[in-house]
Amino acid sequence: MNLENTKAQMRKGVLEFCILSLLANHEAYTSEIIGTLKESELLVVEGTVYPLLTRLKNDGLLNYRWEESTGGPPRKYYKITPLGEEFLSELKKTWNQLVSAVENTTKVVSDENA
Amino acid sequence: MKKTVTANISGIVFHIDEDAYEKLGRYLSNVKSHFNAEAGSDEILSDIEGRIAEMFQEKITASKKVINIEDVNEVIAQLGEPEQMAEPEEEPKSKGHKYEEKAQKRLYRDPDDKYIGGVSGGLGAFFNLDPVWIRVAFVVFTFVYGFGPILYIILWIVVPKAKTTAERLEMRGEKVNISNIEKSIKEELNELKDNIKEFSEETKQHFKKKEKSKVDRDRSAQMAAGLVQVFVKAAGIILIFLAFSFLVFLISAIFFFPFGFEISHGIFGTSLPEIFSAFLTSTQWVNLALISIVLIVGIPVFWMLMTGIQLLFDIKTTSKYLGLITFIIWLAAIAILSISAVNGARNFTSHHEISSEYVLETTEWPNLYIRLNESGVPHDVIRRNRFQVARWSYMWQESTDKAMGIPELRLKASGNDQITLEVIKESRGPSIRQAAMNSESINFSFYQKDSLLILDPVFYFDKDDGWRNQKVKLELSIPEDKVAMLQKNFRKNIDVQWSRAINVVEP
Repeated sequence: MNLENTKAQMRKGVLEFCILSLLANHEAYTSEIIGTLKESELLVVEGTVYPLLTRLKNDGLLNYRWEESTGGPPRKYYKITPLGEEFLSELKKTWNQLVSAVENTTKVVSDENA
Repeated sequence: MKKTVTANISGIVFHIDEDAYEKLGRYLSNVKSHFNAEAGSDEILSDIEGRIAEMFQEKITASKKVINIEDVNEVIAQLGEPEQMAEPEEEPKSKGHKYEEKAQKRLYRDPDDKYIGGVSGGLGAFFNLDPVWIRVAFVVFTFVYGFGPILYIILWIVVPKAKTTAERLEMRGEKVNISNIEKSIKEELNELKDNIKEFSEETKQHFKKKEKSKVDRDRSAQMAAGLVQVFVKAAGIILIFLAFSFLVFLISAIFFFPFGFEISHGIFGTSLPEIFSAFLTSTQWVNLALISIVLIVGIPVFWMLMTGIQLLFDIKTTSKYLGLITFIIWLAAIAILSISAVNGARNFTSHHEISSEYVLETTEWPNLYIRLNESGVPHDVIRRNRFQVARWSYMWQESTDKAMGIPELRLKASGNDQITLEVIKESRGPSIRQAAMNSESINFSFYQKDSLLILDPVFYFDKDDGWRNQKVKLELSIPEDKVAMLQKNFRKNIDVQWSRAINVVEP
């Protein structure tokens, strides 16, 4: 078992969920999304986000609009679509189930160990 | 001193050290090849470039105007090597989160449910019907112009067999029925509408920005693809429809009905075999010509039908050789038809005519009444079994195996007080002898009763002689003091010419 690999796999699955929840509240442009994700230490490298955003957009979960920025290159502002919201609420359900399942299992295990 | 390069990244110009520029270039090309297989790889790349531009801008200050290798290294570290970014779409085509992708249903021949080629089984799977009904339909359509077998064979050739499990699954796929087809067309149209809307908004917003052209291109490519889809399906349906119309025409021309159209001097009711046998000598040639004309018309119809089915059901070409082979057969058919045409033309090389003169009884009457023998020819023969191009006409009687032609009449002054009728029978043939035989077998009758001259409206010859431009020319010489009285409607049936020297009256 490779610890780094397992961590990366876990992070990756959660990343989609986090991006969708992030955009559920407000529009954001790519660097903003990256910033928030970095703060929560979900990102090792920024590059992970771009293909992910493109895939989510191609799947119809997100869409975006262009906006000028002063001096910099124009920015893509992403927004969640109704389909994305549905997808997100499903993910939330699953996430909550997972969290309680993981809590229960790890608790049982630690109780046994105690 | 260091050399710098200017680079345009996402529409912004940077000065970059040469080594830094090279490193960045390598990095970008790695990223590009990493995502190459993925949908939207261009977009990912341009997003990353945009981010690089943003980061470079943060690194430029009033005192530092050039991007150096450290900056590039930092940026790369922040973005990550391509391998760290993401596996390029691990499970291709899995339903995972790509659930928007519709389960595409394809038409295949079903090898597990077949009597002949599995066409009915495959169609049944495609339309979600019990294949029994499709088989029944094929059998029923056998009795409608023989469409059943023709369509079956074409589908057998065009539609691929489901060999792999994946193809079998594709064959069963999502239900395709009328409401689903309607739904998917509506979806496609809606997508198209949305695309157009988004596209126009985007163009409005970023009218001047050059770097947006890539996005615009993506959008218009999507739109074009949607439009093309709709047109391709429509073209498929039109091709199939056209092919069937041609097929109906071809089959009816050959086997069943007289020609359906009647342009005043076109071809009247007859069938192709009748026309061919009128021109050609032997039944072998007739059959060869028939087969080749069926192929000459039929092969393009087959191509149309095949292409139509391929477009409609999104089938890739099954055989490379099919087109080539059918094309060669088509050319061969043209060659055979040309040879039979030459062969037919040879039947017209020689000419012969026989002339015989009859002196009619002179009468005291001042008038000569010229009439047609009313009991001559049943009118249905003239209307139905007739082939006419311009002034050439050819008719036949099914009951007697006699063919018929229409005589021509010329009136002229005799110069004495005799009435004479010269009957000139002429024909063409492959040789003088044959032409002579053909003209001898022409039969024309008339009779005189006092002042009445009664002519048959047609002349007869053996149908077996074929049409060799047989003609009967009647030259009637009458004294100048007599008046030729033509029957009413006489000139409608027979071509008449006369010289000014004689008196002709027609009502």
